Amino acid sequence: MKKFDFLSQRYVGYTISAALFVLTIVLYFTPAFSLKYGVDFKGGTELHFKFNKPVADDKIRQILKDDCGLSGVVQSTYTGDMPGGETVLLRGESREKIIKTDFLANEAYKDKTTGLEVKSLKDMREKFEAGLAKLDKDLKIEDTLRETSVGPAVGSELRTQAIFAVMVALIGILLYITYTFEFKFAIPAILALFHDVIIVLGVIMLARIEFDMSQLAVLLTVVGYSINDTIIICDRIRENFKIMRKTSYYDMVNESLAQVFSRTVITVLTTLLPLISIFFFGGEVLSGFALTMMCGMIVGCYSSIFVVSPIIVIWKTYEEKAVA
Amino acid sequence: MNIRFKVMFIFVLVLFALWSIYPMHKKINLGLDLRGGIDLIYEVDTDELFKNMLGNKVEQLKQSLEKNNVVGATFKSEDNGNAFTITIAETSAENMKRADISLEVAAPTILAKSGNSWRLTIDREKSKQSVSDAAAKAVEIIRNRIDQFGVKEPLISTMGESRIRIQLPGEKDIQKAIDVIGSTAQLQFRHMKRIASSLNDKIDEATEEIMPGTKEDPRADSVPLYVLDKTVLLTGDYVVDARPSFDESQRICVSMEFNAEGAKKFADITGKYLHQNIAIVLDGKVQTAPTVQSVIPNGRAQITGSFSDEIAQKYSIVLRAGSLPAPVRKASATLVGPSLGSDSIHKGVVSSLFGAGLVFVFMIIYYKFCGLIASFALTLNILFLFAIMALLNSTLTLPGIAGIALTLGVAVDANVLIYERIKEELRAGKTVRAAIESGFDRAFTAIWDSNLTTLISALALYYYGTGPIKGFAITLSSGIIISMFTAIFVVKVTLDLLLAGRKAKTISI
Repeated sequence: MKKFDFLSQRYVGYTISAALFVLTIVLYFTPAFSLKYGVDFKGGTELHFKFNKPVADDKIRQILKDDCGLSGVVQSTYTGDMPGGETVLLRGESREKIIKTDFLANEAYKDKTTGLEVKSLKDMREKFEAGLAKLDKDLKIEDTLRETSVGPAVGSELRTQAIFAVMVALIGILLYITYTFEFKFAIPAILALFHDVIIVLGVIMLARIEFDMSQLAVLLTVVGYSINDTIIICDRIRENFKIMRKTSYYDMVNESLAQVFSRTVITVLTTLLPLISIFFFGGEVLSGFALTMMCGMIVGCYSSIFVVSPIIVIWKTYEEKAVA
Repeated sequence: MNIRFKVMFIFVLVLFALWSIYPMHKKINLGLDLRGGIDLIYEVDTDELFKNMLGNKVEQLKQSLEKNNVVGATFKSEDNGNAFTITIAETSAENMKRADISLEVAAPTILAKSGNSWRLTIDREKSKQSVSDAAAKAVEIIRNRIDQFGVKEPLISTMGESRIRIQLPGEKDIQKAIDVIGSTAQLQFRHMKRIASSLNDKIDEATEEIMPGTKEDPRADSVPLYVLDKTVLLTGDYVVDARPSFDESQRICVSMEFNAEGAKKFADITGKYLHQNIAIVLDGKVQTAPTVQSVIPNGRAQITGSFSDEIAQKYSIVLRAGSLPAPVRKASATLVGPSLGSDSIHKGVVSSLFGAGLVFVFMIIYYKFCGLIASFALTLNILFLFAIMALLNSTLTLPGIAGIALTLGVAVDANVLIYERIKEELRAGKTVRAAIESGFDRAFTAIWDSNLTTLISALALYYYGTGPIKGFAITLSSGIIISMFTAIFVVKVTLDLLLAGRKAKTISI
């Protein structure tokens, strides 16, 4: 069986990576695609309405989306006593709703996919009421219990702490790889992580997915998974380095990549299977999560073959030449 | 290790896991998105905040006057602490000029001059920023407290200018939640001048105040009253650690440790008031007023009051997390329903289950008999994952469920590595037995190193992260540990058990 020469394809890899990088940067500076933060990160507006009769949360969500172009969280609640109490809450069918949208009162909002526009709080309310009337002409807002801005749940302090925690984690990874392998493996591994995160951010922007808490989890998971992949390959290189003394470093790494390739394909497949199912059948809430996670898994695996390995080879070969 | 012992070990773990998740609906908490919870709104007490700000400003002005050698300055509290009058008795031109200069640092308070006196009040318009700052600070502190109490996945944010919104998943006990969040735990050390006999005792209103203590004896009708100096010597802001413990006479106390700056201040205070009494005031009550026996240089102190174990625990957490910048008032407390619609929940759960099922099917089709064993290990993996969630009191959200499905795909990675290695060894002509042994052996370093690296990063995220980052680190690390256990240990034991005593010529892999 002729072994596939992975390393000879490295220029294809470089081109793809560079193209994706450029794409991410371009998207970041294109207003229509720039990273859209969810209500968790940027805050929004909260309304607490009491309707004249019970209505399902889902209907309210639909109105927000179809008539105002806003995404939001709708929760049933009640003040004072309510017959049925918790069961009605669980089903989301009470008369009172807490509606939290990502609309900020001081900036006009335009949904890029539907073209729906909300100019002000008053405008939003008018559109919402029009939507209510369309749904059921008897359904009315009986009382506005609250209309206020809400701050981000992930505030600046939490963000700073998260970034600090990630930096410490990266240093931990760097030290451990240097300790068990060598420094020349650690640097490419860390570079690959940045590579993966940047590309996944590009996907998030391209697909116009709102950046929220679950997208943050995706990025962290991608980092964990990508480092896993890199180490599996590094482990093979370390092992083969001992037994293939006569082979050139280039050929040895190539052989190592070929040996772990079946594992790589199968593992990518087993991780993709649940994600594919969630992407197609998981509904709106999870589809964004599944999409970016899938891309992250693929990029993480790709980077360990086409980013980490070539850098290790180049560095090592350069060093050998320098010695000789 | 004996194989029989290993089987027993797995069996015991499974029983323990089953016990810890039974009954499931009580042991596994569902998140705000799936089940709703408690919705609390708090409001920063702006009056009290402004009073505190004014008090701090007065201290600053006193120092400024002293520094500039202004003589004959007196401060008088007015309008219930909402204003101060500063009077300079010595009205020589030179002294008044120095006073004018000293008082320039009054902003953002308003200083209205008339003759030789000034009236100092808070400029409410200019202090708006302080209110929203106080609310933002309160959000961070409340998040810390809730983290320490072990409630997972809360949603905390500011709301409007001065309000704080908190949603706690699954919690039914509104009162308990209020207890944790509500106490400001403002810790103060003050000089105690004497014991008061009644609230009407004659005191110097400008510098002294009467404060109640706590009941030493629950049967007592009255609480002791203390006359304290108004100056706060030290606050809880300098506390770095606080834990409940016992004092020499085995009474419950809170022992705490100050940071370097606090330790220095505490040493100065204990030096200055040696053989006098220092009152320790928590939330407006004198907990204890011990006599200073010696200078304490190491920044360690104990509060011995008459509190229960539970209260000591609560105060410790609150002191560790920091005190709120201003008192907060509860504005509303209600229950809320799930933030996701039943349709979304249903789709998410079904697709995750289906996706997890696909992993099982794939493993069995691709690795046949050995895939079946891996699937068995995967089942235990799910069981253990839920057990850990129940034991750690974690909260399950919809993305969390999707995450578990994904975890299964990643968990089989160890099996894939081992099985691919076994195949390689078989191709190299080894016997089944030898191929299995060296397959496990050789794949182990890769599995170990890759998982350990991820575990190290998870630990960093846990240690330095807060809120959702911490939660993610817990899920990630427990997933890694469990998958290593099931994929390596359980699979190996099962294979050993099935192949024991038989000389297998082939293996279905």
